[in-house]
Amino acid sequence: MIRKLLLICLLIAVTTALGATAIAQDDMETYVLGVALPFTGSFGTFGQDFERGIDLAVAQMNAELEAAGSSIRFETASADTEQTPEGASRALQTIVQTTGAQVVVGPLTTAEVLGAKQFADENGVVIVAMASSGPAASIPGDNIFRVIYPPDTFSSKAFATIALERGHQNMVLLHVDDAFGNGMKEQFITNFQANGGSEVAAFAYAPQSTELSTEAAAVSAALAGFGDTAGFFCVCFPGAAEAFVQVAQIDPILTSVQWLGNEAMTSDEMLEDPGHAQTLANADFVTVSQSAEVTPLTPIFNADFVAMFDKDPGIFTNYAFDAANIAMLTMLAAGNDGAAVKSMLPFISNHYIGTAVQAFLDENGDQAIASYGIRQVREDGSGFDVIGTYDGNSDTITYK
Amino acid sequence: MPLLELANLRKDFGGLRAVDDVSLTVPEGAIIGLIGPNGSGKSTLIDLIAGSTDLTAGKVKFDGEDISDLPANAVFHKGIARGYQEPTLYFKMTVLDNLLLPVKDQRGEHPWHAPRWRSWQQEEQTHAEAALEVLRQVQLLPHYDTLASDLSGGQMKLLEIARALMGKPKLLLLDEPTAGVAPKLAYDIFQQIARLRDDHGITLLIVEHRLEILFDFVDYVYVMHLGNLLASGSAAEISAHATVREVYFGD
Amino acid sequence: MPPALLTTSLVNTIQIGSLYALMALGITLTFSVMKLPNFAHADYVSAGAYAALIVSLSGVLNPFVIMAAAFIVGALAALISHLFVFKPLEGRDVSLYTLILSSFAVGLIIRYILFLMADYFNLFDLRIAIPLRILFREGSLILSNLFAWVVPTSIVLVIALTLLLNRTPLGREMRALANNTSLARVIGIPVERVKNHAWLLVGGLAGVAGALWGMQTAVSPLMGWAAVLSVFAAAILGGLSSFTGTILGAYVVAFSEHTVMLFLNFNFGVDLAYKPAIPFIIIIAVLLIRPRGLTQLIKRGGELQR
Repeated sequence: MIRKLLLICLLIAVTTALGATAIAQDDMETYVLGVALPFTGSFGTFGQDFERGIDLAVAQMNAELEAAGSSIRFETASADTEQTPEGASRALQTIVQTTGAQVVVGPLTTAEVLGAKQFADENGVVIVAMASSGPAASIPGDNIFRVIYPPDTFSSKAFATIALERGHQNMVLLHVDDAFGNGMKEQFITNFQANGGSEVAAFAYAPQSTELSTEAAAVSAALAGFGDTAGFFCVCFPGAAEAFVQVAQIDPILTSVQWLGNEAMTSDEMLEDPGHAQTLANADFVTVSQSAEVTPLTPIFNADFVAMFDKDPGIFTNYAFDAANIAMLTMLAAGNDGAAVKSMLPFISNHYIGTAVQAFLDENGDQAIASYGIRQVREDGSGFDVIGTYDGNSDTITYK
Repeated sequence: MPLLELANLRKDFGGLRAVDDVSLTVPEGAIIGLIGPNGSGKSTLIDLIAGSTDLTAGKVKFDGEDISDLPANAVFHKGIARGYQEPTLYFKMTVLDNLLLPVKDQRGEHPWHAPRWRSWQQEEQTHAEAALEVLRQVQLLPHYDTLASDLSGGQMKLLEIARALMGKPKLLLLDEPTAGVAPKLAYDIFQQIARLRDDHGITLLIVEHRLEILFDFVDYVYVMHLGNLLASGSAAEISAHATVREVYFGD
Repeated sequence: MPPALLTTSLVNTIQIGSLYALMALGITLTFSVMKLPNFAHADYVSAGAYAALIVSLSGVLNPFVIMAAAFIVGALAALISHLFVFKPLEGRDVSLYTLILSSFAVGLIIRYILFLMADYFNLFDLRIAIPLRILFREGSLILSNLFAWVVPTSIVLVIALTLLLNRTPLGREMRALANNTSLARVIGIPVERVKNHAWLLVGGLAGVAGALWGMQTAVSPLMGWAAVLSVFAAAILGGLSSFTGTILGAYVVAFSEHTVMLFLNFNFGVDLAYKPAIPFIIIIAVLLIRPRGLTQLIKRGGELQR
């Protein structure tokens, strides 16, 4: 309640400030780029870093527009999704109703994207998400574009294939109980069993959990029930991933099996803790994540980011930068109009070379280029090595 | 110089004027009676002196010092203690604990010292001995370790007086010390009260309905009626006062 | 339910239950002495955890030093919120609901200060770097060094608090405040000072709980808030006025969240994601049995018992 009140006060302050600047440059045409990201919650640090990436893109674009003598300028209007579907919907409404924004960059997770979807579709607002990958949001014809990260339909196949190659007949899965985690679970089980795998025991943890000893105990017992041939697959959010490894590291069964896991398990914080690093190393931990290809733009982005914010960009921050650029380029081409942006965004995006990977959209408005790296933790836990690649489009794994 | 001096005291509760322009003095070493029908403002006056209620107007001077705006705990430490009509004690605590609570500036009430038993144990011992001595005076010594809730009505009254003594008060305000006490015990309680003055030099201001007992002990009596001071005088004068007899006894 | 799982879950119950007890006692004490159901208590826990984290990041790994730092920061957070928010509000004689809402607000302010700080120094999801080791292993019974820190520390602190409350002049005055604050004033107890001391104590214990909780999970500005419902459920189970009741309540809540939850998962397939619902269920059950809920408890809230 108070949180909402504070947010409303903050928004009033922000919009008043925006209004004042708009009056000051009234011969300019201002396009508002909405930013809906989780600024609070366990993803708050991502949201804040992503916003910096977007601010950098906007600042660079405005500088170019000014140099070119254009009368168009971009401004951002951001709101906190609170990392929940309802919060994402509220954030979108707040942005659109206070600024009339037609295009919104974000939100982060698939659950938030789905939460914001109805309002976006009904009001003709285009959502440009940068990291959502849950298959549940792969819907043709809607106003949601997921321009950088391909849907988990691909990576779940890779995880299933690696599990089977490792000789696991059974798998125990711990996943976050939201659209992303449940989507990954279903896709993984389907792919695992279609290719000869046997039973999969899945445990869900509540997204807000910060203490996972019960979950670890359940996973351990299920692994013990399956015997030697079982492996473990963790689909967690950051924070929960660390909390899980914290309790798993003294569990005799969890420390004696091989682990697979999503990208959250590979955070810097994870390896900073020697106990955690050792646990992953003992588990031959392997992850499949989108290949962080280095394009000519990547080092430039990194340098510009450091110059502007005096810190290194966090993981995926360049995705937010790319998403903002695709959104702004489309608005420059199509005008500040949701329907026109929706129609033109695939064309622009397919001709955009970003800092991470080229965007090429499928019929669902999702990234269609499914190029993954397979990374394994080093034996001493000091970092990760790329041991192979996975081409999702042809479903082939190539080991180095 | 009188010990207590009230000048034009007034107290409004919303639209109701409970105490209206009352001025009176209490000389040191006296036992003063304060009487009047129910609702005449006696208890409110006691509350005002003790700092339990804020006054609307007027001045309370105690020992030459203006204490009108002091909170209750500061008034207590100036030397004014009080008792209540209904026994008001910490019933879930022992008799001894009830007496140790009012002691000022205890070392062990500081969070730095409290966990270090040795630093305050000796001081606590001294306070406890003083408390036991007070209990002996009011004849509650055998009950020092009982819960206050287990005492009889009269013993509770005595414990209240004993607690007041712990603060070494100069002035003791008592609101119907014999309310709900058997007549025989009531007289005993007044004898104890008189001893407070005789042995400890404590000045007393007593609200009481049992005039037949009160008049045996008081030096001077104030009569209140509808928030006003109606009359004052010695016990004999008040007994004979026509207006007092009219409002008080319905004569 | 396999015996190994039962053993592990009981160890978890004891470990988490001890932490819940440490946090819930502070809530009970605030409620009895200050007549305030303080939801900001959760954020004193987070503040203490961050103090502990920062000390541990500076290279000091002595758990006593870490806990002392957490105590100081938690105590200051509590005292400041009393002096600047709760005390002025009490002076205005506001309703209980206003006080509850203001405690939410105080919690939010502390939480977002921690967010700002954590963002600036990049202190998210780190752990107080005391390496985890197995201390004792006998079959499926595994006790870590964390267990050896958390459980005895909590028990010692709980006993110390009980002794302080029942055996010292400070505790005597706190009990008096809990029973009858206006009488306390009349008999000359320095009420405001005792309250300040009680706040320091309550916040300090919350801070220590945060340090221990931060060894158990990852430190984040939301960690205290994430546990607040479980902790309130424990305090409400204890009737918000009894120490023994609160401690029992803490273990009951931990037992439900760990052992009962795993039992339901294993035997009836109940999803572990329902775990956060358990404190809700407990709170609702208690409120149903005491239909007038918190306000009824307030009226008899005076009786702070052993």
